[in-house]
Amino acid sequence: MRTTRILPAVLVASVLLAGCQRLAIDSKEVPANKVYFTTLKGAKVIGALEETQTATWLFWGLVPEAQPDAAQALNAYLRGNQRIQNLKIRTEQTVLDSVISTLTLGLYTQRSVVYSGEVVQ
Amino acid sequence: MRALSLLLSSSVLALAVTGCSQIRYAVEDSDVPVAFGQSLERPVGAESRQWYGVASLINWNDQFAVLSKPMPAALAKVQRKSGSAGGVVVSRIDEEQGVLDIVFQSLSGALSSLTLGASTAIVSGSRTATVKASEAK
Repeated sequence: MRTTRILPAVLVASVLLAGCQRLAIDSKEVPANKVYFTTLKGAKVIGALEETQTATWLFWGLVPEAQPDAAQALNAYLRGNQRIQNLKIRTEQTVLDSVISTLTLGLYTQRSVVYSGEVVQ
Repeated sequence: MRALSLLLSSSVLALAVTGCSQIRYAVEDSDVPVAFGQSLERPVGAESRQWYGVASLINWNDQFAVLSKPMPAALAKVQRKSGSAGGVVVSRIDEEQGVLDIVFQSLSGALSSLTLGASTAIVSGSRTATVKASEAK
């Protein structure tokens, strides 16, 4: 009986203290002066960037399992003197993300991170 | 009845096409270059809360300018602090469903039950985004 009272209390306290579904998009491994959210003057567009990553958590978003890796998504488009302009990052819950969360009753949740932009030279 | 089923199927279709509780990090109008990378300067963090409604499809920040969007808020904060027009470097973006978001969602859920789901159509939740940016040197 005591356990049934303590467990929900611990869960609620963890959620309130930690927050849920935390994700970080860090530029740590992204090379300097190569990726821009704005348009670069005089740059010639040579391709498009479109990459999707999935952030996943266990136990209603409390325990992170996989986090997005911005460098992995962007570095493949930065060969030689290539750069990226008009970068847009969006995070969203796609239909598939919602279905998975619902089927697992929130024990496993995921959110998609989409990178888009233009590759220029 | 037909109108209701049409409304439901168009909502499901819209969700399938657009995804829900979407947060966009983009710079639309800026006089200075905004880079994504590391900076030697200490970043300042700009926090903003994104509200969702109509089955999570509408990002309320796009509708009401009173609430700031994450990227413009960060740029404005850096430019206020530095006063320079040299450029901005965004080094990190953090996003979560924080305490206030959870409280709000619970209240929204309770209200939804009381109104037999009608309120969910208007408001459904929120997330907190923090953009860390600094002056480009």
